[in-house]
Amino acid sequence: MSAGAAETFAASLSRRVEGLRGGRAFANYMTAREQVVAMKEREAAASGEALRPSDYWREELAGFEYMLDASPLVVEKLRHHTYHLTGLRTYDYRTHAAKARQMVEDKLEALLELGGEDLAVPESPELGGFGFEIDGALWNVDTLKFLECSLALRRGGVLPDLEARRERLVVWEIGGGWGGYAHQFKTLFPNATYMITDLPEVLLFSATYLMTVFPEAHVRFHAAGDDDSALADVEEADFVFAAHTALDTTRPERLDLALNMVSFQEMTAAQVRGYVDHAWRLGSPWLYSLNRDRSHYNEEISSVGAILRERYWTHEVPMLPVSYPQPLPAKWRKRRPKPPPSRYKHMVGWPQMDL
Amino acid sequence: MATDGSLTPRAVFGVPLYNSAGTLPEAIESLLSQTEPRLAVVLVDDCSSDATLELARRYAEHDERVVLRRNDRRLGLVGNWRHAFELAGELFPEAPYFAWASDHDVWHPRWLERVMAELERSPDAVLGYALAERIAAHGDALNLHVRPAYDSRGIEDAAKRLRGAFHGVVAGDAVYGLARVPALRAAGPFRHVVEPDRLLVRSLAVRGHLVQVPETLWFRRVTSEYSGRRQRASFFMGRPPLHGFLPPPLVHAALFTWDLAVRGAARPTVSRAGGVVLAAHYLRLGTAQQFEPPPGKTLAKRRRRGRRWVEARRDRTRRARRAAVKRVRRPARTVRRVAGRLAGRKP
Repeated sequence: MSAGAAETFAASLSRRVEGLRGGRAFANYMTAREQVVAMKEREAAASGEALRPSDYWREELAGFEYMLDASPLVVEKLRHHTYHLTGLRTYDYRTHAAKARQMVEDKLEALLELGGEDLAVPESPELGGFGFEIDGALWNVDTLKFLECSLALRRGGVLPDLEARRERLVVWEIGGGWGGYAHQFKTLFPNATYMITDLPEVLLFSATYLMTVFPEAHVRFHAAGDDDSALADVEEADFVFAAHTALDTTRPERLDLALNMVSFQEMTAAQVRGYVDHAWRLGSPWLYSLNRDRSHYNEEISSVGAILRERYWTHEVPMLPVSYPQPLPAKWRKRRPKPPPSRYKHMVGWPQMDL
Repeated sequence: MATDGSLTPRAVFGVPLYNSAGTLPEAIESLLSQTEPRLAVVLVDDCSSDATLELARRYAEHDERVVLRRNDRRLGLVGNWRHAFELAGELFPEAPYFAWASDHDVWHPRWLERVMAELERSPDAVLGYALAERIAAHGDALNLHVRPAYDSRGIEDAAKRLRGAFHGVVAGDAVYGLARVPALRAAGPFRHVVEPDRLLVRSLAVRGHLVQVPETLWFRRVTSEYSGRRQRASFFMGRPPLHGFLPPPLVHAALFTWDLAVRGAARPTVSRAGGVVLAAHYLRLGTAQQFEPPPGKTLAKRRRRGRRWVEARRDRTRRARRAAVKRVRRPARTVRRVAGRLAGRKP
């Protein structure tokens, strides 16, 4: 009897896996994987000191090498595996975590109060999307961070400027992580081309995720060695996934916004300088950064802010008085607590002139 | 004079410069980065002794919207501000808008576009400006309280607008707003008085509406606190005039009387009789503001300040008493010493 039940389970598992293998998400994963492997092969030829990931990131990459050979079951729950990039685990969002839920509810309420009502894009339930269900939508620390970023972009005068433009927007995210902000931005601005530059292994997450969440999207991959003109007609694509080794040829004809969230602080100074300089040379009229001056673990950079100010005039957009992973202090509305000196800063910058 | 065949300036920024090489590039570039391109920037250097002039020259050579002039002699802050306004009028007489810009604050690229749009929408508005964020010398946000936006549109009574300008407007912010040139000229741009910004903004308020865009589009660099002594030293070249030592509201009210009641300069918006009433109003509101702590000061802060004042006073009194005792004792000791000598005792 028990052997029969085990067989049934094995058979049903096998059927399920095969079903998932033939599904859209796994097909997207396989497409992304093929491109990422090709990027890795070309990486060797394009290697250089500035392209070498920081020590911090080399350790991180080693932790999710298994994603290069993921099973359909892993892909089905892709968001559960993004903790390698974000540190957020589904365990913390189970029903017993009342305190964490309260924190998410408080922050969401605070952000909506600050004017984020029309910018709120919750987590998609696709690919194992998780979070606390509030008013029928999923919210977690990441989605709140993205909402705060959109709000900072609005309060920093960037979104009103982008909204006023009639042509299709071209946005470049440096270090797109699992594609969470790309999802939010593309939902808010469907008429936009969203380019992500990242380490190839990380693009595996974002490309699979975004191709699944936006099944109709036109997607393009860009690797080192691709032609300079490969991104000339970039506006025809919805998403472009570019390897960090292809920075030199990542040259869209126009760029409206360059942004980075929580990854400049984990790069080397040379890398940050390279990206900021590239955005400036591409003529990006806006640069947005949510970073600390330096991640505690990263010894290879001294100040993100100082590097940004080499090319862009930046100013801070004051938002909530705490960094995005922390809970709001009680009665924060009555008092404006002094933020700690080492904190995440929402910085908006416009380009310096080349005299 | 058009700097570009196709883009006649709609707004002119008058930028008085003095020894600001450290902050000048960011300030000028923030003006030149405006999304509204129909602008001109008139830089007026007041005989700087650092690299300000050299930097300004580079911008003038690089961007044809920038005009640079250098004063033959130091005019002081008030004189240079006035000169910047006059020069802008001479160079760009067709431009309907003017704004003073400092050599150390920062303008968001959308500032001109947003503020000008508001003024175009409201023909009765004379001055437009945006919410301001205070930044430290190194550029970090100071996270200070930002006042809600003030908008006098809909208030037809000039006295109410004047009261609004006292309580709802930070004159030091508003004076960097975008003004309609005729209204600014009529209000008398930057008089030779202490706190000329307050006088100007309030003079504009009785002439028309003040409009504040509810977006933070201006970053004011805070370097020092307000000081009347510092104003007297930097505003007037050489010795300050006598009225510089009088309470500013008294001087301002006298000028209000002269302008509105005697000259009738704001007619038909304000009659001569109305001018007398407004001047009295100014004196009352200004005096109250001068001697009352600003609304942001809490009771605890007021008490602390009061306690410090009492302690300082007590300390001064104690020192004065000791000095007086010394003064009294010294002759007494001398008398005793002389008397002792006369009596044959050893000193």
